[in-house]
Amino acid sequence: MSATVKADTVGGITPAVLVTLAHGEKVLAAHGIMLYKETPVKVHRRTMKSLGVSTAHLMGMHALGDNEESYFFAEFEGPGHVSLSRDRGGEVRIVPLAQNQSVRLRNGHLICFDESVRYYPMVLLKYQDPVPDSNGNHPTRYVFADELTGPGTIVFQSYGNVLSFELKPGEMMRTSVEGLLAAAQSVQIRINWLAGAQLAGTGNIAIPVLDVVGPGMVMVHSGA
Amino acid sequence: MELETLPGLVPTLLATLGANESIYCEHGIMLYKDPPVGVARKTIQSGGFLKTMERTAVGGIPFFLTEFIGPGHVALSRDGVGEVRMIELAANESIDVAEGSLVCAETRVGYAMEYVKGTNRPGRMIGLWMDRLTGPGKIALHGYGNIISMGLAAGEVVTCDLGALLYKSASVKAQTENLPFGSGFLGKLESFEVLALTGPGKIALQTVDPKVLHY
Repeated sequence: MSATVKADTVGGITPAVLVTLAHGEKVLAAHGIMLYKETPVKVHRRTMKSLGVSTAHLMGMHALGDNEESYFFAEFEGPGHVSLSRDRGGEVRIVPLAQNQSVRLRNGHLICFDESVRYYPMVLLKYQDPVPDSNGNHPTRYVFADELTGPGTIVFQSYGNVLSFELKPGEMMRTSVEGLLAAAQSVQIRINWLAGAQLAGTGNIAIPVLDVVGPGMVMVHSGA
Repeated sequence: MELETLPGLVPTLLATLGANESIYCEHGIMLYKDPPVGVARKTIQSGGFLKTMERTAVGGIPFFLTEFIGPGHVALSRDGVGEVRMIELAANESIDVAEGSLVCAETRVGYAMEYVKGTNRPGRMIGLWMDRLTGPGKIALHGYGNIISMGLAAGEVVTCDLGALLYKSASVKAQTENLPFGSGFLGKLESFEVLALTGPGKIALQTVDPKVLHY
């Protein structure tokens, strides 16, 4: 049973999401982002394992530095209202997903999703940091994402404003690493490098960017 | 006296004070003032010596408030994204405002502190303090993010995040609770710390927790 998700964007500065749940309806949300709830709404712990994400996979994500990833979601069960907020300025997007339609959403942006949506955290890509650490090594950087597959509704928040694109097959756009918010599963994402300024002390340090190749939906946000 | 909001992402309050008119606010939120505006110290008198020591030494609440005395302009800012809301309190009407949200109040508005006991778990052992403001007079509050206002009927309860409460009527009872996150020991260990607000009265919530970096 899917919930009716309604976003309340009063004032438009830091939008909150208002979820209206009928009796027995459930919605899953990141732990700790509840703004308020009505008394009849029950809260349960929903393990990642119950969503098909193995503990070994989660531990692997943590080992790579994915600190956003929790072992649990909060499950809110109706009847009543629950309001959720990410405590940041930006836009809330409510996206209905069709059967087997997948979206990869940058981690730390998901607010809530229907129980029917399949959730899987993943490494979107990795690259070597061009700036060496104190030992002269170039640490590996990871970009983490939440893969969400329909049917069902997902709700997420950008930091800053959202720019949406629909790329044709083979069409490419280039974004900063921090700028990418979400992309359809059909979109290919590759790391690329822009030549940086020639600095006397360190030499030429390239800037990592993302080459995003269609077909499919891409969302970029103006805050990171 | 005139209190005016200068709108924007990070709003400012501009107070225009006539001769000998005054407002008070928390120390350190002044943006600018005209030279004729005088600055004085206002002592917080709420509870006895031990209560004062508890809220200052343990709770981090300041000993003093700052008073600005006209004539002239003084601008105040809470340095956060949000809304400034002006409230006119009737005689003997009291509201409790979350710590760090009062922008200013007319001097005739009564000031005291209201303590909400914590849940005695790590991180929330000491509870929280709120500013109790009693009319008559005008006050200005800064809500972080957007403000959601509600009216609660007698006995009606809303459960909110600890950082979400902006203000409540003094008649609304606030109680910290551990909201179990599932069953068993793990559910208790990972429980949410929440504030149960019981009517009757008005409440206002803010969509951003001021303690969270939000810009």
